[in-house]
Formats: sequence, C-alpha cells, structure tokens
Amino acid sequence: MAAVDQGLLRAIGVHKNYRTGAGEVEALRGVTLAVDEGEFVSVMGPSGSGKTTLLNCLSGLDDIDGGRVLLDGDTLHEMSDAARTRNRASSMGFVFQQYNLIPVLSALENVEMPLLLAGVRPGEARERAAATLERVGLGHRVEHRPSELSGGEQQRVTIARAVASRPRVVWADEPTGALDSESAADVMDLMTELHREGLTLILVTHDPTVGAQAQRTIRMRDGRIEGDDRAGER
Amino acid sequence: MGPVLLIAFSLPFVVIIVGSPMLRRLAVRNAWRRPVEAALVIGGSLLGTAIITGSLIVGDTIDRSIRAGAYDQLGPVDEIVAVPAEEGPELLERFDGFSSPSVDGVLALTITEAAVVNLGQGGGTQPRAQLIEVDFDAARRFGGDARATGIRGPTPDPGRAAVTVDVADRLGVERGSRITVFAAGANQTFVVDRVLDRHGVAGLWTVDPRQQSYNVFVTPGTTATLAADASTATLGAPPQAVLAFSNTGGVEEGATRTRAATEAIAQELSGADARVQRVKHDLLERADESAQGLSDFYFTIGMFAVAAGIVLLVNVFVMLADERRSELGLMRAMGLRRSTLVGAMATEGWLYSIAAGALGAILGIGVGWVIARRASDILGSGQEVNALRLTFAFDTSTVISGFAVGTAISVVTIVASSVRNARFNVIRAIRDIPTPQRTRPRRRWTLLGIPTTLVGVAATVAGVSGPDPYLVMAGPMLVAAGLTPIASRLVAPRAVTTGVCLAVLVWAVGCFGVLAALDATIEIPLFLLQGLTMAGAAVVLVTTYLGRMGRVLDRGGRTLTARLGVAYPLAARFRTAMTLSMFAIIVLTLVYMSEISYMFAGRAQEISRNLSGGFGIELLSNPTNPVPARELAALRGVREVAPLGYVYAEFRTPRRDRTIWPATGIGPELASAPPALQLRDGYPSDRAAWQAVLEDPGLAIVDDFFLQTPGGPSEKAARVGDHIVMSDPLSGRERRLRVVAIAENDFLNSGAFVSQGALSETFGARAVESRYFVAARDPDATVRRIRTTFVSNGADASTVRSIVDLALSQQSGFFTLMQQFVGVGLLVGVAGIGVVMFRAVRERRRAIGVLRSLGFQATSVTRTFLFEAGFVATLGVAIGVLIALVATYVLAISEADFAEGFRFGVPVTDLLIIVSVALVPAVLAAVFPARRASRIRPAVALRVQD
Repeated sequence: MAAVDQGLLRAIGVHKNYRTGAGEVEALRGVTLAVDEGEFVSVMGPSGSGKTTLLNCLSGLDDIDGGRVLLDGDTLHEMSDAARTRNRASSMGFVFQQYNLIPVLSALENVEMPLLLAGVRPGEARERAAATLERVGLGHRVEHRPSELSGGEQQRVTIARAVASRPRVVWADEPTGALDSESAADVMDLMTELHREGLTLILVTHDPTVGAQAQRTIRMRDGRIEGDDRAGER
Repeated sequence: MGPVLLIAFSLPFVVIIVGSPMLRRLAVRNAWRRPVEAALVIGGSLLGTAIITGSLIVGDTIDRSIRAGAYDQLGPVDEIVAVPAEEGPELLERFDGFSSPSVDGVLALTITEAAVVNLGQGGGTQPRAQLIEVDFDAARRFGGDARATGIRGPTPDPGRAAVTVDVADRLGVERGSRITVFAAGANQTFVVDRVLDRHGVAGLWTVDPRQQSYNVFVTPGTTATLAADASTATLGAPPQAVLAFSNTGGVEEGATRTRAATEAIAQELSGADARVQRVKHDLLERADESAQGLSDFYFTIGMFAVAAGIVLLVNVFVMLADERRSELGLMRAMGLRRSTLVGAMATEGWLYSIAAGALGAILGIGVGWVIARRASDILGSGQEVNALRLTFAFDTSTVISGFAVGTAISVVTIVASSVRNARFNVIRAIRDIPTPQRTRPRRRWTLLGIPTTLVGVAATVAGVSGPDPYLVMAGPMLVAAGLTPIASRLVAPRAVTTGVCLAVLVWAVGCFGVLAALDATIEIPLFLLQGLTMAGAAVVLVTTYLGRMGRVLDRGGRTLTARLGVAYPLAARFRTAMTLSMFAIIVLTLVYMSEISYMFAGRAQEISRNLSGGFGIELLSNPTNPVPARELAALRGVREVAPLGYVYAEFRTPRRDRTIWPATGIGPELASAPPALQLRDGYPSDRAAWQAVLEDPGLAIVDDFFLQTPGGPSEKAARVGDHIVMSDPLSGRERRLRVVAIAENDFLNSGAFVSQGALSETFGARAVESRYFVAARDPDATVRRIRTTFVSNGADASTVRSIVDLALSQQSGFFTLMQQFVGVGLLVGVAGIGVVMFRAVRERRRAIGVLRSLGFQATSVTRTFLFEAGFVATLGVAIGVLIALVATYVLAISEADFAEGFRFGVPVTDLLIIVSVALVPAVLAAVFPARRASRIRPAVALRVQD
C-alpha cells in the first residue's frame, strides 16, 4: 500500500455531494487513499456506500466538491474539461457493468476507438485493436456488432477496449454484475491475467468472490473508507 | 366535407378521453413528457395544414377577385344583345315594351371600338378603347340602383366626353384635358368633362377579357357624325347597337335569374340574327372555375410538402414507440389489449394533431396572403389582356376546412402508425431485445402480392386503352410492388428490392414518352405521383445499400467523428429512410421546377421563331379603323406583311363547354411563311397543313393550351382530328371545324387559326383584317415606327420576342412562387432532423458517457451530431437533386409534346441556392441538440438506465 504522499493515483480528502429532491446527500466524505502502479485494488461495500462515486471522482469522470485527486502528480480536477478528457484518453481505460459498447460499431471498431482518441495512426490502431481482441479470445468475432455477441463476449470486448491503448489505470465498475457465473469467472480470469502483465486495475464490486481476487480491498460505507486490506492481511 | 370527416375521425378519441381515465392520463402525460419534441412534432405537422389552408385561401382570393371584377365591370348588366348599329332601330323596336319578371331594366347603347390618344405633351395612347353613346339619365335608372351604374351627371354635350379612370390613367388626363378619339375612319377631339369609376354601366367592357375598361362616353350620334366625316369608305368593323339587360334582384342576386331572363330575351329575339350573351353569368362561372382550378393546383403542389409532413409524423411516432418499447411491453404483459394500446398512442397523436391543425390553419391565412400577393404581382405582370388583379380574401369556412383536412390527414397517419407500433413481441419489448430482421417476407404479404399484381395489370391495360395517364404510370408500378414479396421468396430479397426500385425509377422517368405516344394529357397531379414514387424508390434503394456505402466510406479513412456520424444513421435505417424521404421529396420537386423553368426560358428564341413563322412583329389595330395593309407594307423597314382577321369567338369542343377565346383568320401571306406546328394530321409538311386550312374553311389549327383559362381544366380541349364549333357570340352563327394540327404554345393569343373566309362568314364585317404579322429588317425600330405612324388606327405593335420574353418571365415567376410554396416543406425536413437529433441525444446518453469516458472531447460530440445531421440531409438532398436531373434530362430528350424543344442544362445558381437552403437549416437544426449532447457529464450519463 502506498503512502498518501506517493503512488500513481492519490486521493486526498475527497468530498462529493449530490443534490436530490430530499436535499443534499454526501456521497464521499473526505476519502483519502493512494494506489501504486501495477496494483489490483477492489472497492467493495453495500449499495449506496459510494463505490461508483469514488470511481467516477478518482477517474475524473465526475467533479468533486472538496479535496484533490492526483494522477502521476497531476491534479485532475484542476485541469480543464478538455485536458481531463485527453488525460482519460491517454491514461485510463474503463470497464462497465452494462458493457457500454457503441452498438453501431463492430467489436474491432469499438476497441479501435480509444486508440484513435489517443492519437494512434488509423492503420496501427486497427492492427493493435485486432491484436487485443485476439488477446482476449475474440479474434474470430472482430466484425460482429455488440448485439451479435453474448454478454461474456461483450464484456471481453469492453476489456479489450479498456486495455488496447495500454493505459496507466483501468477502472472496472461491477464488470461481472450482468454476467452468468461461468462468464463472470472467465472475465475475472482475464482481468487477473492482464494485471499480472502489469496493468493497474481498480475494480468496484459488491461480489466478495470477485473482490477476493484483488491484491488489496478497500471497503466503503456511507462515503468513507471503512477498511483497506491487502490479500495477505485478510 | 372536411369538418364532417374531422368529427368522424375525432369522435373515438373524445370517447377515449372522456370514458377512459387511464388512457387519458397516458395520452396527456406522454404528450407533456417531452415538450421540445412535442413542439417539433406540432411545428412539423402544422405546416401541412398551413399549406392546405393557404391553397384553399388562394381559391377564395381568385374567386372573390374575379367576382369583384365582374360586379365592377358589369354592375347591373346581366345580359347583352348586340347587333350592327344599322340594325339597332329594329332591335329597339323588338324590345319596345319588353317586360319579364326576371328583368327589371333595358338600356340601349352604341359601342364602337376606338383608339384614344392624348396628343398633349407626354400624353399616352390606348389603342383599344370603346366609344360609347348612351343616355346618362336612362343609364342611371337602369337596374333601379343609380350608384351601381357608375354613371354620374348628364349625358356629355357634343365635343365633351366622360372617360373611365382607366382611360384617365393610361392617357394621363383629367377633367378639362383634351383627348382625340379615332373611330369609324375619322377622328374627333373631346374635352374631358368628368372621370368615372370603372363601375357598372360606366365599366361595361365588351372587347376582350381584360379587367380594365377603357371607355369614352360621348353624346349619342357622335359615331354617325364620325362615319360621315370619314374621308374614305370604312372597311373596319361596324359600330354595335347594344341592349343591356338588368335582372331583377340587384347586382349580385340578379345573376341567379340568368336562365329565366335569357329565355325571355331569346323569345323576344326569335328569328333575329342575334343572340343573348350571359355576360355576368359567364364571368361568374369563370370565377368559380378559375378559383377551383388554381386552388386545386396549389393544393396539389402543396401535397409534396404535406407528404413530407406525413413522413415526419410516421417517423416521430415510430421513434416515440421505440422509446417506450419497454413500458408498452409491460402494459401488454399486464393484460392491456393491443387495440387499447393503439387507442392510447393514437389519442396522444390526436392531441398533437388538433393543436397542429389549429395553429396550421391560422398560419395558413398568412401563407395564403403571401401567395395571393405574389400571384397578384405575377398575374398582373403579363399582357394586360390576360392580367388578373387579386385582392386577398378568405372565408372563415375555408379556414375551418383547411384545419379539418390537415388534422384529418394527421389523425389518419397517426392511427396507421399506432397500429404498426402496437405490433411487437412482448418479451422482446420488455427486455429491450432488438427485433430480428426477417430475411423473407411474411406469407400474408406474398398472398397480397398476387391481387396487387393483377390490379396493376388491369390498371395498365385500362390506362393504355383510356388513355388514363395515372393508370398508365401507376399500373406497372403496382405490378412491380405486387411481384416484390413473391419474388423475394425465390430470389435474394436485396436483389429483388434493387430490381424493383430500379424498375420503378426507370418507369417513373420514362413513362412520359409512352404518355406522349398515347397523346394522354399530362396534369400536375401526375408529377406528384411521379415525384413521390421516384423519391420513395430512390430512398429504399439507397437505404438498402447504406451498409455498403458505409464500408466504401470507411476505406476512405474517416475520422472517428465522421465514423460515428455515419454509423448511427446506417444502423437506424427506418429512421434514416424517413428523414431522407422528407428531403428527397421536397428537393426533387424544387430542382424539377427549376429545371423546367430553365429549359422553358432557354426556348425563348425558338418559341418566338415557331410562333411567328417568318414574321418577328405582331400588330393589333382598331377593328373599326384598322391599319391599311398597303400602307403598312410600304413603311420603311417592313419586308412583308401577313394580314389577319381577329375576333373573340365562342368555342365548343368535345371536352370543353362554351368558352370565349380568340380566333385568327389567315391569308396566303401567313400560309407561305407559317408558324411551326407540333403535330399535324398526315400532312407532309407544316406548310401543307397551313395551306389546307387556308383553302378549306372547315379546318382549324389550335395549340395545346386552347381554351385553357387560368386554373381551368388542364385536359387538352381539342386534339388533332377533333371537331370543334366556333360561333359568333353576338349573332350566334356557328361553324364546325376539324382540328388538323397543333401549334406551338400560344403566347401571342392567336387562339384558333382558321381561314379568313371562314372567319368572315361567321363574324361578318367584325372579322375585318385588323391584326398583322410583320417581317422587318430591324424589328425593334420598326415597332417604334409602326406605333407612331399608325397611332390613329390604334396600332399596338410588339416584337414577338418581347411578348414571348414577357410570358416566359411570368411563367418563371410562377415557378419561383411554386418553389417557395413547396419550399415550406423543407421546414418539415428541418423539423424532422431536429426531432431525430433530440431523440438521438436521449437515446445515446450512455453511449455519449462512454465516449466521453474514453477521451472523446465535448466538441467532438458536437461535431459528431452535426456531421450526422449533415450526412443525412446531404444524402436526402443528393437523392432529390440526382433524380430531378435524371428525370428532366429524360424529359428533355423525350417525345412529350410539352417538352418539345427542351434542351437539358443545369441552372447552377438555382441548384446551389436550393442545396444551401436545404442543408444549412438542417445542420443548424442539429446545433441545439448537439450542444446539449456535448454538455452531458460522463458520470451522470453512465448512471442513466437504458
């Protein structure tokens, strides 16, 4: 575990509030943590504990109401929207529960997209996308649209899309939440394998089986970190 | 009829709203759920109603304007009887003591055609005027309403004249000015002692159909004095003794007694060489006909925009159903019947339709006003004899009819869409699983294909034997449509679709050649059928190959923005096809009109040559004092002169009732250098046909627009081989003629060409040769010389080219007006793009969130949406432009008679304007939704449940 003054990703006293019809809700209450390069961290907690909000805020997808988030020493929320977007394109990958593939693009085109956004030449982007799909076992499904793939296959395309541009961090929000147990196991095997190859992975889940596969588990409750354990310490 | 239809259509919805609280809640709350989209739907739909209402109001305006003209020019005069002046005493004797319950007044006048000139500095000339002798006291008593007669003061003293306001304006004279009248072979100068309004007896005009009345009232006996003063024996048309009759019941109601009055007058005339002219009745009949015709014309043209509006409605309702698929599925799962679901969806649509109909009807008044104003400018810009002044007017019942028809069209469209939208698989709908594409058509479609094919064959046979152009065009298309599902079970559906669409396109473009061979009448609705079928076939064809098109574009190496901008329209084919249709229909129509107008304008020289034969100048002169042919031939610069008789005759043909129309009597001069013919009955050359007419008084040559009054039926009134009847409206003398050839479009108002002998036998002395075709070395200089030399003969000369140019510019003005009218439909397309883009933002919220999370910039999101809107609009515009160009090219090289002489060319400026007017607003319509999409925060978007 990295100290909060070092690490690839650092969150210092992060606050996030939501306004609802019933008033203001404190989704994150001064969260502080650090993640080293190459770590596989799972974020667990009951529904409404702030897991997804933490992912959104630390990845820069959402604004914060207090504190700081640093990626490689750069303060994310001090960047303009365009700079933060560039940063996501070059340094981050995302895996979502609902796959969130672009339905009108083929598997290959979906995987190719972050590469193009990161400025890779079209020809090279296509080669790398094809190679990444091959890597996740979908070399034979490159031309298929998302609607023509099974849930497990779609999630593997999502993972391929997340890792194709070789990001510094991959964020995964309930990546197995919509899958049957067999597909979920396949997906987790794949993610573990990618982590072993050096990928920094931060995974949000409420499934203890999935969370147990991470090196480190952060437990959240009511917008605060309740516990932070490494695999050996549990 | 419209309101009845609307009530019939609306009743079920009223029952639903009153009787079913749940369906009412669903309909009303869903309508309020998406206010921007609801506004766009209403905006797009109201245009259809506005166009319908506008076209009906054009009818009101024309009807009221012509009627007002009739009441102005005739006032209490309902019928007239005219005889040569020397027979006047006998006529008066016949009607001495005449009485009929239908007639409340008889007035005797003497009317002589005259030329009138202001010889003072800067004075004007009016070559065709009437010198009228009437007792002013008697005239004021005529009809029982002195004000309706327009006659003021005593009968002018000798040497003094009362003139109408038209004469005063044309000549630039006022009370006290001097005017010189040339009539009956002599001239006399008068002092103007009052200017009368063009009203009632003062506005009585019998020369031609123009709406002006150039009347000079003088003391009785003036014409006789002039004739006595004539230095030579007059060879012109004699003065006419006219009896005017006023029907009981005032200016407007009197016309309803025409039949009884005519019978009473005719009985009195029994045995005389004269007949009753129902002048007011005929003019009012023409008002009704022209109003109906022009209203129908604009209605038909407006149907292109209405069709685009229908497509918009279908598209929107299919999109709304897609959005609510899960909830609709759930409702069905809970036990809601399909018919109830249709009712709920249609009720929501009915609410939109009622709102759109009401707003559209109000907007339609504005549309009608704009068209009436522009049409008035155009109709008033041509030759005065054909000019029509319009005064904007409408009836409340017309606006209600527009509202009813527009709303009824929307309701029918929405119910049909709702029926289609209510058909879905409940499980797929609840789980939001896409409906799989069928590879083969359903069995019931295949079975339906058989009767459709048979109906198509029957329609084709009936069309050819008619000939009926609609059946000729639609029959083979029905056959193709019927064969499609049958063939799709045997051959690859894509190949069948391609073949059928290509066949429909080829036939829609090429059938005009067949119609020309069948000599079928081409009417405007046929172009509607052609345009809609072509647009439909082209859109289906393009949509079928969208995927392939995408792959081709892909090879070109597109940016991510472009790729996404193309990918979505490619994926949502139905939606894309609907949007393409909206643009294709309207742009096709606009480009088509531009092309036709351009090709017409390009024919000016050729038309001039065809119309005039070897002569470049047309000269009209006063029939009572015509230009002497010998003096004209001796004029400097004149090479040759063709004297022509010229009268307004009454014609009847197998397809047209009594219509007043010009007739021209030809002599050997014209037959030796005659106008060109489009069609002739077996004669080896044009000259042979003209020679035959010259030699045989039973033959005639007419043109394709013979007897076609503005807005009247577009069916050809006479074809080669037809027998027509020409009669003298004054005497009733008739002559039967056989049409042996069809001449070029009659921009010179020549009417029917017959031999001068035939004209003289029918019209007597009134058929005097007073019109000339003149060949000259320098036509413009000669025209000026003729006008100054023969001013006393009322010489009105123009080069044929200037007349043709004027007519073509008027025609071009009409095309532009039609384009502006149809161009309103582009707003429907723009609204369509707006609706699609708003839907897209909502549907793609998560996708936008994903893209943004992957590093897609906000500006790129904007660009993607704009690119998508631009791509679809460009494709639709390209389809429209391409098909219009191909169709007009084929038309230009076809045998269709109305396309004779067309040379294909592209009006580049017009085309650029049309493309810009279509594309720029379409892309602008996407700006707001695109900006909205770019502002979606990724974390928020990703939280949205699909």
